[in-house]
Amino acid sequence: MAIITVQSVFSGAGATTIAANLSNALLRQGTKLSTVDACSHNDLRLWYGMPLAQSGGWALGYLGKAPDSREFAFRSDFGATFLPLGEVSDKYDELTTQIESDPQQWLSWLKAGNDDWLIINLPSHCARLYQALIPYVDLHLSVWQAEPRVYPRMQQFINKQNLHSEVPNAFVFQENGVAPQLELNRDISNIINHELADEVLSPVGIMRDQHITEALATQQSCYEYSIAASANADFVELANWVVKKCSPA
Amino acid sequence: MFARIANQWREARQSKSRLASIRLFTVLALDLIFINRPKDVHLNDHGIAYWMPQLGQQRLQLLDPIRWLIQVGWLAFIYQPPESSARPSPSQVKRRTQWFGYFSGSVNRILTIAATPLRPLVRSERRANIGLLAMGLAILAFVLTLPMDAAQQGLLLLIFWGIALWVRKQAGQFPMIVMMLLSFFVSTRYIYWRITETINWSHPLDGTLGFILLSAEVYAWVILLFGYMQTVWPLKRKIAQLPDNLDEWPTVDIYIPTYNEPLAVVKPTIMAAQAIEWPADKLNVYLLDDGRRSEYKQFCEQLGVGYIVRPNGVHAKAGNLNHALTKTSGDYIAIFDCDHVPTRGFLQMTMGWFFKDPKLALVQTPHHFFSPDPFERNLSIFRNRPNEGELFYGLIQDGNDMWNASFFCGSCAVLKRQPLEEVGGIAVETVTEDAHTALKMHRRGYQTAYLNIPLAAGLATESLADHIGQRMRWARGMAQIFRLDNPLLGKGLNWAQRLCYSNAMLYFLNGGPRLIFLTAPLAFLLLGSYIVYAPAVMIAVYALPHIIHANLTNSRKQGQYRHSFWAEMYETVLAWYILKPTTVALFAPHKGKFNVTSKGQRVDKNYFNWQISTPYIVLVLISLLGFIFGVYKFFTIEDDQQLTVIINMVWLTYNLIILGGAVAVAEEAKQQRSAHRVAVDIPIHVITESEHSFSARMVDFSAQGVGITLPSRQLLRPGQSIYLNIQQATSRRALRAEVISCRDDVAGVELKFANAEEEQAFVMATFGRLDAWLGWRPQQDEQPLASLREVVGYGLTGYQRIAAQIAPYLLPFFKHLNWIWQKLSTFLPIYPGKARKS
Repeated sequence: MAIITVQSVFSGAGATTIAANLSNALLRQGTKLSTVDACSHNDLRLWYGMPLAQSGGWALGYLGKAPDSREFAFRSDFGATFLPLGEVSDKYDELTTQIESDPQQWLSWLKAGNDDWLIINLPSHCARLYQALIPYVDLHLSVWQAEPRVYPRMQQFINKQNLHSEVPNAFVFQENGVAPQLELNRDISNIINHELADEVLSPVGIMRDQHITEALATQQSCYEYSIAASANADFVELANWVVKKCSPA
Repeated sequence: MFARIANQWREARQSKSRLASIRLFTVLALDLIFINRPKDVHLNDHGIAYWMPQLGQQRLQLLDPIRWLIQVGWLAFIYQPPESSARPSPSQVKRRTQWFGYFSGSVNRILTIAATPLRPLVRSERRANIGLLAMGLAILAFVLTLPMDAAQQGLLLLIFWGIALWVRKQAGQFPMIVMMLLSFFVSTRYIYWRITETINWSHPLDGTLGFILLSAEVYAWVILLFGYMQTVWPLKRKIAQLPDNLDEWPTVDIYIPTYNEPLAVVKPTIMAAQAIEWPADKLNVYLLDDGRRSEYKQFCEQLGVGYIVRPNGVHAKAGNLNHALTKTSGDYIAIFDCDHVPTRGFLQMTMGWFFKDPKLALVQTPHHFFSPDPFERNLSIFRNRPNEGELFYGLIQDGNDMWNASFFCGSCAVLKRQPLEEVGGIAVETVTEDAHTALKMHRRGYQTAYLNIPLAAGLATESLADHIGQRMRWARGMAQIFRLDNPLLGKGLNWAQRLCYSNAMLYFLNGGPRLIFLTAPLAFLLLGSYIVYAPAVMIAVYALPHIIHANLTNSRKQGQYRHSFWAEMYETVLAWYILKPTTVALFAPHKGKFNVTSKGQRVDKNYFNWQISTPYIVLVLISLLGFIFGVYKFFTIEDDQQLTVIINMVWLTYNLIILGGAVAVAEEAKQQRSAHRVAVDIPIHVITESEHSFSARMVDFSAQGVGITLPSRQLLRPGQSIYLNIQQATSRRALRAEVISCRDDVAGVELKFANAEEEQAFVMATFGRLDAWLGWRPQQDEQPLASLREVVGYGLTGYQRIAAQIAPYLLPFFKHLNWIWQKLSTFLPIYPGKARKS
């Protein structure tokens, strides 16, 4: 049983993509898990082929004190369990506040009494959720991509969360969209990798791969879309590392 | 019990014919009764098919029962199971019967006592027990010279043989020493007997020829003993750690001497040398160009590498290096031949020892080759068998290291500047400047080290002619040193160093003795001369054990690095060619010049090198004549001489086989690529122009191209331009490339480097990888029988190849001969767990 949160350092860095495809890689390895979308965009469901018209999700249920989170769980056609946020309109702030006030209660509600792993997709713009949850998670993947925004965003984040003095055990920076064929991407990536300590860096980078975008466009997981895609190999490698990291020594 | 057997019979009959069931039951019974399994292996672990690979065949053949009987007999009486890596558990140890423990204990004690006289030598302890040593030597001398009749001698040697067979498979260095002692004893007794009793001086021809053979045998005996001493306890040095403080790390100059090699060969070396991991301000790379070529100068400037030329060309490579010594100032000098591409960890792995030992002047690493040498190519055995150099770099240098006598091999080594300057730089008096330099440093009391980890790799010699040329140079150089700076004389060396150096030099004098052995049986068969003046029975009881012990001991000692019988083939090929330069060098050491070994060439088509094989074909023809005479003699000679004829014929047949092998190598197999492909398995990503990324594996690489396997078919097409996304040290690089060929899921890709920096990244991700050459050597256990079978096979191949060249109508004859051999060899027992090669 492990709880993993995934959050982008800046909008569009790829937290949702990683949450969905990492979950699928773990699932194929036999890990029992549910993937939870806590991002207000409610995009995670697209990775599972959920029709746009369907607007249900766990958020209103949680606000409405529903007894069991499983009421809001969906199962994709390849067997993945996921909990979309659902349409919340203006209640997202209220939701955040409620989770912040008692994060453990929220987590145990999500677990619904079973031993499955939880992969939670957090919104990039919401530092409050990160702060509330970080003490209770086994792994937090802070997703970044090598592009000009990353340096200032990362600095801001590190200063704000005071990571200079102490980094939580669960915290790791996860690189996405690795593209050494692009000079700028490679240079920025090298700088960031050079400046950050090895302990806060995930050893597996996810390559920039058009397969990922195309998979999303066809509302399939990357694995279903193309088995030859390097992204699959990357996510499997990441899953292996995550399992190792989250297993009790 | 019978009911149970009946039951099993019924079960077997359900799936097998009656005949097959009988076969199964018979072998099961045999298995239970006869086969001595390793103690911790049970029948369940290895089925009967493991012990009797013959049973794996689909169809029964007529003579199969004979094959099984031979196999069972061999398993029961000769085969010894390999020492298992798993240690027996205490309960198993307890289960060993009491008498066996007692027996093995007492034998161990006896052996310990027997070997005690040598122990002070082995441990080189100062407090040598001189009394015991003297006593041991006295007893040894007494036993060595004790006259015995044939039966007594035979019995003594049977006992020895028994002990040797018994200790052969015991793990550890001590049984090895026992085997060496036994072999030493038997061979010395043989030589003593030969000298004192077998030369017939009353007959001038017999006496002269006999003396010639005897001197060759004495030479072989000396080499055998020196060899035992040299490798009695290989040091197997590990990596030493460098200090944590980078400021303490010294400055290193890297010298890459070149003369006429193409830039494509030198490029990867320079790039890899530049990328060796060492503080950038303490590492300087220099190309020492004796060819004074402008494009090299340009290339070096572009890369920021030092480029040194010298005004004159005296003393070839040694002179080139010495000139550079005056131009640079690093504390240490690493030398790489221009085709030896270093891995990025070279200095970090080697330099540590200089901190451990202030008197250390040299760290040598093995010369590793990623292209096949002529033997490997022409016999198609690349990476299947230990190659020719492996004995030296795998065992002998490690053995030398024990005695502080490992020497410099010209490349892939680090030297300390101060001792090097003290001995006047690289030696120039001889053409093997490397070994001579090390000898000079040893004389000054410096230490050397050998680290048996391949940290650089290069190209092997391209053709047999080049190979022979290179060895001729080594042979001449070693003979020169032996003449000019004899390690047995002069100051500064201890006895072990003298011995190791002498062995290295004397070894190259093997040309003459080898030719003598090849022609010796002809003396009797053609000339009717009795060169060994003794009854055939006495020869058998003295000579056979000498040969058997030497082979058993060498097989155990060297098996991993050189399989039995291969040495004969390697040496036979060179024998004729090193005879002249070594003889000349011994008498006129200053004659002759340095020849450069050529690298990176192509052999366009298969061809037979007549020029090289002529001496051997002449030997073959004479031997065949001797063979015919032998057959005639056998039928006409008195009955009591027939055994002599047979012994000589057997010897001659063996010679013919070895000569056949030597001839087989002379057919040069074609080699079309000038850049060799190195087989690997590295995960990479392939990125197409549409930004689709595929996970793939790099299966081979060369300096310009890469072979990849893709996850499925038809992902790429020829002509497409792609990026290869590779891991290089700690970061990723994408290199532009073009797809050249595509077949199924395999694609050949040519790299299109945009600049030198990209090319360097590629070199670092391939040749320069830290683990690039680990696990490269075939880890095969020696199997003398299998080796014999192979060598006979190559011998016959040689005759087939000659026949194809000069008399194609003879080809069917040799094909049939080969066929007969193939059939005959199916009767040889097979090592358990090995399938017979078809």
